[in-house]
Parts: sequence; C-alpha cells; structure tokens
Amino acid sequence: MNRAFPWLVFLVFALSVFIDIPKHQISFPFPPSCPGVCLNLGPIQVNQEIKTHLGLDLQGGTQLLLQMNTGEIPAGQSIADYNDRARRVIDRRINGLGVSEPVIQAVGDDKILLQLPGIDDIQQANDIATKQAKLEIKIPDKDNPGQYKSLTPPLTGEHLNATYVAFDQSNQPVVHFEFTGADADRWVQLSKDFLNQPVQITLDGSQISAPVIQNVFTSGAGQISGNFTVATAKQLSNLINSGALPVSLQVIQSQRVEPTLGRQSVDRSLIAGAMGLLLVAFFMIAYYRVPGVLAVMALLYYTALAYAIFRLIPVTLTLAGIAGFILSIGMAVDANVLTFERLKEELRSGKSLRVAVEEGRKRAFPSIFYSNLATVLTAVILYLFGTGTVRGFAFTLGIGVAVSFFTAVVVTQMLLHGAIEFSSLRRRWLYGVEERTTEPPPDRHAPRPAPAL
Amino acid sequence: MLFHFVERKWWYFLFSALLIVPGVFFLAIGGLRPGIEFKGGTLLEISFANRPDDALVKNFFTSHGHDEATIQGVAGGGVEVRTTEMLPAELASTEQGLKETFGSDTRITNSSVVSPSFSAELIQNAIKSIALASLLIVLLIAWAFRNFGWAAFRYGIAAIIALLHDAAVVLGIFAILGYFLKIEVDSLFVTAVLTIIGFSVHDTIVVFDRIRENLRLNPGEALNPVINYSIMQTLARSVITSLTVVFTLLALFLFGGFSVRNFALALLIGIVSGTYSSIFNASQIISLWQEVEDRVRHRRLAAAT
Repeated sequence: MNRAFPWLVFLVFALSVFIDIPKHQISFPFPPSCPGVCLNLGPIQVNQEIKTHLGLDLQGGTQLLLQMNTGEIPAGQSIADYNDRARRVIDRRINGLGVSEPVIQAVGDDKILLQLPGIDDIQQANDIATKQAKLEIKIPDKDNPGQYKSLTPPLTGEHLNATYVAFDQSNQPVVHFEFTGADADRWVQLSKDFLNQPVQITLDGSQISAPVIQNVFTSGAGQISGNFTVATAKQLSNLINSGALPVSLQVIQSQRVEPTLGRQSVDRSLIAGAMGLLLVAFFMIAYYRVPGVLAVMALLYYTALAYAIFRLIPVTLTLAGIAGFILSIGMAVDANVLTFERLKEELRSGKSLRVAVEEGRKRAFPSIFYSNLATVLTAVILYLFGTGTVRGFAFTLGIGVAVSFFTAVVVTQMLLHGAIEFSSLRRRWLYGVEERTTEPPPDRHAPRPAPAL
Repeated sequence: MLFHFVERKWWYFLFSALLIVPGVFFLAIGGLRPGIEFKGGTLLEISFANRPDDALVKNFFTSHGHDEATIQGVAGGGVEVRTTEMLPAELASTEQGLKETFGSDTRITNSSVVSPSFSAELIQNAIKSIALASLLIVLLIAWAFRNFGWAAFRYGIAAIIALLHDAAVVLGIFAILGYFLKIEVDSLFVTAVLTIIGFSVHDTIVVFDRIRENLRLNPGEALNPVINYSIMQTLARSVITSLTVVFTLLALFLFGGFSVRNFALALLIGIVSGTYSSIFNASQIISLWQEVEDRVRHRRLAAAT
C-alpha cells in the first residue's frame, strides 16, 4: 500500500467529521455571508451550503401532489410545457410568501409536487396551488339584463403590467392595473362602448367588483376596488402578478404534519440509530475481538462519511430515509463479517497472521462486491418506481451500501494491516481462533474446505 | 461434529409449512388490508387535551358526512381516523369543527389524503416494481449460477422457492396481523418485501457457491455430506450478518416511532425467514431433487434387468 494512502483516508474522515458538525462556515477569502463552503479563487468558485435537509415529515409543513387537468390542453401542445408554466406560476406565488426552501417539482409530465415547509394552513397551501387566478373583464349582457358576458375574444389579465396596491379618493386600498399593447386599446374602446354602464371584473369566474364607467379612458390603466384591507389587496395583487395557471390543478394527495410531531420523530430516529449502532458494536467486539474493534472503528468512519455525504449532496432526510440509513448500518457490517470469517478460516488452516489477513481480503472480495451490487440494484429499482417515501428509503440505502463498500474494503483492511504491526495484537486468540497447540485434528470424513467463495 | 442439516430436511420443511399455511389461509380470506395509499382516502391523527370517548369522535364525523369513518386509539392519547377522501378545504373545516366540539387544544397533528385515482397509479407502480425486481432477480440467479453447468437449473429453482417462501411468510404474517390487529400495508411494505427478496437470494447464493466449490474439490463425494459441510462453513457468516441487521431493525422497531414500526417489523420477519430458508430449505431442496432423481434411475435400472 502506498505510504500516503492512510493519510488520505484519515483526511477524508477528518473532513467528514468537520462537515457533520452542526453549524460552521468555511469561506475563503471571507465573503461576508456564507451558508457553508464558499471558495472564491478566481477560476474556482464554490458555493455549497452545508446543512441537514429534513423532509416535511420531520420538520412539519404541508405537501400537495397536484394533477393537471390535461383535458384543457389543446391537442398537439406539449403537456410538459404546460407543467413547466404552471410550476413557474406557483413559484412566483410562493415567492411573495417568504416560505423557506419550498419544493416545486414535476412528477411525471402531468403532476406537480409542492412542499411548503412550515406552512401549517392547508387551506392556504391549497389556494396557492389551485387558484387559477384568471382575471377577466366582462360586459353587460343585453339579452339577460343584470348578467354579464365575455367579450369576443375575452379580455383577460394575460397582458398586464405588474399590478400594485394604491389608495382611492376615500383612502380605501385598491389594486391598480394596466393593460399593455392591443389590450390597452381594447380597454379604451370598452370605456367608449359602455360609458355610464357597469362592467364586471372577475377572478376565476366570480365577481370582485362591477364599477360603472364614468368617463372615457385615455390609457390601459384601471383599478379594482372592493372592500379590501391592505393585506387582501396585496394578496390579490400578488396573485394577479404571478399570472394565471395555464391549466386547472387538482389535489390528488395531501399530507400535513405538525412541526412538534416532526421533532418527536427526529428524536426517536436518533435514539433508534444510536441503539442500533451500539448493539452492533457490542456484538462485533464480543464476537470478533480485535477485528471487531477495528470493524466498529470502520463503522464510525462509515457513519461520519455517509452523513457528510447526505449533508453535501444534499439528501433530504425523511423518516423512511433514516430507516434506510439505520438498516444500512446493519448491512455495512456484512462485508466485515465476510472478511473476518475468511480470516479465521485461513488462520485455522495454519497460515500466519500476515498471510491470513492478505488471503482473507482477496478471497472475501468477490462475495462483498457481489452482495453490495445486489443491494444497490434493489435500491435502484425501488428508486425508479417508488414515490416519496419509498424513494427516500431507496436513496439512503443505496448511498449507505456504496459507502460501506468503501469503508469495508479500504478502511477495515487498512486498520487490520496496521493492527498486526503491533506484536501485542498478534496473538491468535485475539482473532477468535484457538492457539495452534489446542487445535483439534481435522475431521477425516469432512471434505476439504474450499479455497474461494 | 456435523449438524444434520440434510438428513432432517422433512422436519425443516414441516416447520416452514406450519408457518406458511395459516398465513396463506388468512391471505385467501382477504386478511391483507390495503392502507389509504392503495385504496384512497384520508388518515387523520388527532390529539386532544383530554381524549374523548371514541363514540363521540365517531358521532362528529358521522354528522359531518363521514358515516364510514373508523376511529382507532393510538399511543399518547390520540386517535387515528380513517375516512374517504377529503379535499384541503374540507380538512380545514374539519379541524375547525373539531376545535369547536372538543376544545381548542384539539389538533390534527398529521393528515394524509390520497385520491382513489392516484392510489390506482400507486398500485400500478408497486406491481411494476415487483415485476421488474422479479425479472432482475431471475437474471441475477442465472448469472450467479452461470458456472454450475447442467445443475444451474435446479439451483435456480431452489433459490426461487426459497425467496417465495420468505415472501409468503411475510405476506402471511401481515395477513394475520391485518385480520386480527387491523394492521395495514402501504408502499413501504412493498419496499420491505422487495428488500427481503434481495437479501434472501444473496444469502442462498452464498451457500450454493460453497456447495459447488466443495463438489469441485471433492469429486466422487456424495451430495448430502457435501451439503452438510458447506452449510456448516457458511453458517457463521449467515447467522452473524443476519444478527447485525436484526439488531438495527430491532432498534428501529422499538424506538423508531409509529410510522416506521410496521416497516421494521416486515423487514425483521423477512430477514429471519430469509436466513432460515437459506440454511434449512434451499440446499435441502437440491438434496431432495437428487434423491428423487437417484430413485427414478434406480427403478429404471431395476426394470431393465
């Protein structure tokens, strides 16, 4: 083994532990505010946030899965394109709310996943996601007095400048809007055609106000009044500015978790993880002695490295995800068990410790590689076909097993090679094998053991 | 000392049958209960300052148009309520109504709603992943036994029987739990079953690999002693690997909280069953196959002379 190699392995460990520490910054050359690792060295620009991302079930909040009503999309148009536009509209609406780290994701072509951490009000979340926000100006219907009808083509809020909250003569909050382009001309024309008549301003088909036109307009500007408070006027303005949803959306799955429940789940998972690690560590040391201690050291290395990777990628940890991680701790030991069992066999067959360690490594490797591959493949399938919870589990299990492959093959071996350099650690019983003198004669009837698995 | 893994095979098969037959019975009478993910509907976890009588909670939901609501108490002074699908507006008004009826400290701590149309898609996804995983596992088995020559087929079949055994044990036990304790299965349960199958196949392959090696090294040796010896050689690895996984799952089951408990339980049952089947069933099937083949050949020879 290369001389520098152990140092490299140690460096990875030190770095992992550093990343795992809850709050800190690495910044060079000292940008004023940095969320994690920030490097600014001319061509090398790094701006990586370091933080544990908790899923909604662990931090509380509301999640909606939305189904696009694809029947509304004209034939020949791309559904994915509409999905994209709908997500941008929702994104703009949420921006006005100050939610930290919302998730707005396409799920397939025709579904949208919306996660709003910290939003406890499911009605509010629903409004953000499903209010279509189609503003339309309607004119009096001559055939049905008192009713209103659409212009042909309808005059909608599709071409508006950004609206804002203003105050009218009686100091009431109103929403100020302004049509642009051809719609501005239509707006002016409309004021000529319907002078001294009411026109209706509607949002998603229901009336907000129906003011009477008192003079001919000179521009595309107008205002919506209607018993607003400043807050509701702002809400309406934000809704209009974010644009209308290109298709209507329907909630097909919703989940809302209280933050207190989430915190409880985090605590429980931490306890479960710690207990699992302790049980495995205790067992390994009791059963394998010196190699067991080394395996536990490798297991700690594994835990630190995997968690650092979760924080760096970053992986959003959910309850199922943590379950996958805890399960992978148990599975991570498998590679060590395979190696140590081989080591014992080699020692029993009369080889010296040094040779046995090397032979054990070589012969256990195919099994280890094979077993990890099988689990990673299962995880990949689960990830491809799973939704939410299943994906979280599959992802952490997959990463966990991949990392454990590294720690078992590289770290445990390195430690084992290091340990046998100490003469006090070179006694056979420390490796769970009887001293040579007490070894029973081989069973005459038994077939010879196989050299390779 | 040799443990009689092969000679006592009928006892081990009997033990498996005793585990599986009741489970299959409860599977057949529909014991496996689909959760809301697979049939659509609403699951509410409600916490109260003082938990009211279940009948009062039931009355509340009946009077709000949910005659079908089922109420179940959970640890910590709360209840779980299952109803048909509720849209967000109805959820909000339900929480308001609960506060008015049972006091302002009443809270819906966790609500989960799946529309029936989406649950159909989730079932499809589950079936797809099971189908793909099965295909992949058959390929994996074919690949693992590529050097087995003519015997590959019987080893493959034995491995598949062993994994079906484990799936049947888990499904059966959950059908029994569903029938008596109303435990439901969700997509995490499907995940658990797939994880178990992967684990089981790998465990079996390790044993079979040893059998093949020992047969190659000891030509002319009878099959049964070789199987016995091979199981002995891999026994420590099988048991210890399973034990460490069992430890972590036990920690998850005991401390991991309500929502992952059934998941941990399914994995726990499956891992134990997988270890059992790889030690006590898989190789015994190979042995049985050989014995039947020998007997048929013997009879044919006897008939010929």
